Amino acid sequence: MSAAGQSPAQDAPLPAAVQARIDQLFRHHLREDPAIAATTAMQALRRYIETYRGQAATQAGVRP
Amino acid sequence: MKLALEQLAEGIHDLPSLPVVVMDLLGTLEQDDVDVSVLAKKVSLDPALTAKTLRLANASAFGLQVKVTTIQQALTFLGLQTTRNLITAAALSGCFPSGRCASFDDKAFWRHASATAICARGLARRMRFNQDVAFTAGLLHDLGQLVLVCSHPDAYGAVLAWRKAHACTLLDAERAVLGVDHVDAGVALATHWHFSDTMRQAIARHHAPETPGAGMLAAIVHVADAIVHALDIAGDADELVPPVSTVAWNAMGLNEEAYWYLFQETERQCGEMSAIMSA
Repeated sequence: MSAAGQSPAQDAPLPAAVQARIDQLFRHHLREDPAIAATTAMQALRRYIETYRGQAATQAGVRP
Repeated sequence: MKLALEQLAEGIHDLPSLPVVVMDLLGTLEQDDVDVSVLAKKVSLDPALTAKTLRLANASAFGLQVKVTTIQQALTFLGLQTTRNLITAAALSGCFPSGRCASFDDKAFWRHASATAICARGLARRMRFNQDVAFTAGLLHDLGQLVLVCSHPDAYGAVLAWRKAHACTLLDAERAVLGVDHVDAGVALATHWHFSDTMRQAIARHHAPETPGAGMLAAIVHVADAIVHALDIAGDADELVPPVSTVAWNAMGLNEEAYWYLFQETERQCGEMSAIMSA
């Protein structure tokens, strides 16, 4: 699912299945355990991945 | 089901030995004064190692325009550092029998290891760090998992069941079930196989890059590991992105655009390499 040739852009919509998988991969964000709380870096990584996947979905013509 | 460190050591002694030429290579990873003709001759004496090294060399991740058919050609076209990475990768993948633990996905393991190597190399290039050392560290960082799987397959099956049941990281599941983790096993293996101190430290600290003395290599592998988990390259249903150190992340000093290109590079280049590694 590469977004070849694209640059980062905001507001690319994510298909529900892609968003669900990202939520699952980062699921400890959803817990309230301070030992595994989301760091600033995790939040940045998640945001970048969401933007990247959103652009790839747009490029592939997948609707949210 | 807790394992004592002595049991860990026994499991390591039961593993096949690395070829002597690979032990030599790992010991000289940061040196450029290796006699390449002697190296080519030594590797060529091992047909399986040669064949796998050449398949890797011809994979698209290494960008060759011509097909190499001898180790000497690989050395000529790819250079010493890249070729010794490939020899190391080829040798490592042959040391761990697959299929020992039914619930452990060996192919997924090598997809993750290959992608982490490529991602770590990309981070190193952007940071003007030694790319070949980063590549090898990315490839080796989780070898402790294979040590545990090969030496205690039933116990590792219980680890994977625990992870699924508790939706936790593999590291946490290993500690809960075995009392040791793949970092402990990786460090023991690195010691047994005489990896360099730098490499041993990267394996030891890839989940704790903020530890004093961990070094930049551990930070690179830590960030690469998190990126590859987040890109979902292994395709493991129970996968979880491990906690990411903000100190290590900030040390990379990259903006979003740079990460984007790194994501693309990692996804594009890892497929062929991981297929060869797990063949």
